[in-house]
Amino acid sequence: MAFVPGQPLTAVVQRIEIQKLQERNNLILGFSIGGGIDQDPGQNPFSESKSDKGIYVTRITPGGPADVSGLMMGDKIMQVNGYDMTMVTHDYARKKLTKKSEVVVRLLVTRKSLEQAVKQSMGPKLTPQFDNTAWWRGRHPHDGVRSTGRASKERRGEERICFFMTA
Amino acid sequence: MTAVLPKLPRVRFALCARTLDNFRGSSLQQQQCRGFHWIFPHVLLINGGASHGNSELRCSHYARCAGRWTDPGCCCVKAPVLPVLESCDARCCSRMNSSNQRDSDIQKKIDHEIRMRDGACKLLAACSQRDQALEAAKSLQTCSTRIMAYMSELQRMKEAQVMQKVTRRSSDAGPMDDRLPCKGKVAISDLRIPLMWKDTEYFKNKGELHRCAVFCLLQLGGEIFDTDMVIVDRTLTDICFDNTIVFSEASPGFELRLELYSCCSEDDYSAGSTPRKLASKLSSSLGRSAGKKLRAAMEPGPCSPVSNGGASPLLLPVPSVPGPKYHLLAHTTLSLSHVQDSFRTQDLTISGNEESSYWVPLYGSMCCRLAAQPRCMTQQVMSGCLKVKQCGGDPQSWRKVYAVLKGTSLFCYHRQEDVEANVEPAFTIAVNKETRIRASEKDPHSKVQNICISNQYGGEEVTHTLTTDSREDTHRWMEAFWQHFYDMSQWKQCCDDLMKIEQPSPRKPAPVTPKQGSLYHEMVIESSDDPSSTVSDILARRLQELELRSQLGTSNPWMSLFEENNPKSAGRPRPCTSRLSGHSPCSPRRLPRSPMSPHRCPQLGLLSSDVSLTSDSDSHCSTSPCSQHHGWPEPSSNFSLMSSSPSRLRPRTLSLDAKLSTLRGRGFGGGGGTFHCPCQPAPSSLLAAIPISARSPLSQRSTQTTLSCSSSTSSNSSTNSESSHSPESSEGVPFSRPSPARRSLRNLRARLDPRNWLQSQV
Repeated sequence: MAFVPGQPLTAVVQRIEIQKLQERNNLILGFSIGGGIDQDPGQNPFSESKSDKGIYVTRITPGGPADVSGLMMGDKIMQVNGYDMTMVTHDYARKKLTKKSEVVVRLLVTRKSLEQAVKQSMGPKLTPQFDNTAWWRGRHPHDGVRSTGRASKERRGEERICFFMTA
Repeated sequence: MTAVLPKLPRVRFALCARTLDNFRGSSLQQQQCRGFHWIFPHVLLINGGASHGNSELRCSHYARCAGRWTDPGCCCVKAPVLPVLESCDARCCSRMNSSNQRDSDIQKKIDHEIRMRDGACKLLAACSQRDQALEAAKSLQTCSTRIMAYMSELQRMKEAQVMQKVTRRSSDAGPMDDRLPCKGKVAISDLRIPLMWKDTEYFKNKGELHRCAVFCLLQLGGEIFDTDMVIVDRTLTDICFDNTIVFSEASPGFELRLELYSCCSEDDYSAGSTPRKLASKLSSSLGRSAGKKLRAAMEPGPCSPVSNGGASPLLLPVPSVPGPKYHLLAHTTLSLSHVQDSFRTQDLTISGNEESSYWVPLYGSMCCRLAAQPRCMTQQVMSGCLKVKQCGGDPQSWRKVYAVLKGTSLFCYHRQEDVEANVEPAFTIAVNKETRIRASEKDPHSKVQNICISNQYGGEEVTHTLTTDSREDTHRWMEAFWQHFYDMSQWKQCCDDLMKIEQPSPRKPAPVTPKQGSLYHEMVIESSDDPSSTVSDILARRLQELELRSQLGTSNPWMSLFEENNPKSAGRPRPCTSRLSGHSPCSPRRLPRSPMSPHRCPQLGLLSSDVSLTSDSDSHCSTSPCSQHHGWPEPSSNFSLMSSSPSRLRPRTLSLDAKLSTLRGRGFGGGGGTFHCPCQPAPSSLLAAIPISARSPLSQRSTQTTLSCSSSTSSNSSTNSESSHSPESSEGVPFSRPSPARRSLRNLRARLDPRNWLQSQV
């Protein structure tokens, strides 16, 4: 999605909670990611803007944990267990998703249809389509400084989530 | 109808003139003043596209019948003719009665080009990648130009026909003494256009590389060819086109028109979706030159030069298809005087200025090698039996020879068979510009005239005398000599020596660029798609795209593809639960049954391997839920089954794979086996066939071995220990069947290569 560097980014996100699946000595989630600040954004088939270096879901194993939880192909992952994913390298994102110590992964993902759905529901009806749709406000960390410390700060403080409306 | 006619003819007349004017510039001027007795038996009015505003023409076929115009299909003309050919209805062309064979040939060509053009339009609309779009736009331009050229040739032929009729009526055919010189082959190769970048481009411009796509269009007579497309940026000092283009029907007075087209090839600028505010902010915050270009690109760009009679560029405004548009950057015309056996520099006339988005700083000249091979040099002009006598020799020493006139010599062989056997001729008589040939007085001994050929060898004049068996033979030989001399005088320097022309080898299709090896790179997912059928849909579209792309490079008939245009089976979502029992019945595939030309196989194979690649990786994390619900058969037994069957006939459980593998097997026969998924080593591809066997012990181990293979060389996968690391499918690697060592090296390279777009499984 188009963003202006330095300005807060607003996005409609969906919370997705995925239970990792134990497979022998592996914990798997059942999807693939692509993207990252060290990757070529022009080759991302899912992004709206070809300069978007975010982490995108490129494939979902049908029937896998991610599929069951409602993750969809083409989703952009904004947060993983509180860790920001909008300005990270590919490997960092993968690591945060595949921590062996965590069995549950809570993602905030966004996709185009969410925003549209919310807009629709703002019209005639007042009940939203999604229960756990939330407005996600956070500073788009385009100022270049990346470190775990910052991420945790975001996790704690800056995540102002207001539930939009509940049925 | 007849009542209408008296009013209209004048309009029609003016119309025709102007239409044809657009075709061919001012050559019609003298025809116009002839008044109403228009000589055209057929006038073709082209269907004007809707985008041309208020002019409305419909195709009509006017036939001249008994001196009056009759109009089977009425036409209604509202406004003066504008440059046309937005959408030319070739069917109308075919309605013209052309008893002439050449007419129908040209019309076939026009039809063919129109189909190609339609295909290119469709591909352009379907393209998602910039490179493909550029290629498609280039084909579109070429097709449009060719259509134009064929149309004008058609008109010219009609003109000529009628002219002939007219002259025949007026005067009897006098002694037709005008010889026509022989035709020849003209080849242009090694085109090189030097560039002249400003220093500011290098030093001050820190922004992104400004790239342009350029290609050349070459036209000689009725033949139009285009070169490959080259991407130009400031790291290039010359634009080099490696193609050799050979025109086979050139007369000595040929005019080879070369045009250089360019198109800005920036991804960021092409998206019209960038909001205006952002765009203006960007353009003001970028460097001056880059911003200007951006602004130029953002505006509805200026039309390519509109042809309005006179010397117009070859291209007309192309149909309004979204996508990159090429603009004329420079042009030049070459003729016989430029022909030489070595490289020469020619001047280019540059159009366009620095402000245009498609500007490339040309130095102003161009280097190329233009060679010509007239037929008289390469083919036998005349051959037959003769008797030769050297002058000054024994009057009785006539030698019987079989003589062949070719190039600059008359080869005399002992026997006719020697010619085919490539035996050296008995002797050779030079026939070149210094040779004098004359018919001598009647020999008292024989009834026919002799032919004397005299050459200057050194300071000496040597004369050979030829005689034939009959007067007709002598005539024919003299005629042949005259024609030969005439040809040599016309072709001038080309007849001194035979110039070498390399026959361009049949072009292999441009391989899919390494970056775009993966299916998922080129898929664009619409959010509204029904997920269960998404992948099949996309694959169907991809296959079609690939087919279109491959067919663009050949002259394969498009019709078969477009007749089955909407893939019938694409929409049908396939249930995922097909069994492990050999080939699942594959759908009557949407791909046309038309024989796939061999060079298409690699690309389709590539696609299949892509899909199998993804399904392979898929299988890795295909998990217990699957197995529990569907109760798959025992992994281990199946695994052994798998290992026994050759990869080509891998039964697939995922429906997608089944379809594609049968496709592979059917379509390509032996070729199917070669297209493995290269990025993962064989063992894992075997077990891919069994989705649930991802959990079998064997598979895991082989997975691990894969990992260790790649991790040994990669720096990143030290993370193996902490994560459930499954093999990364690094898609940036060109597909082939590499050895394990090379594969891991490639993985490493792929991972470190910033131009890739890695995907990881989690």
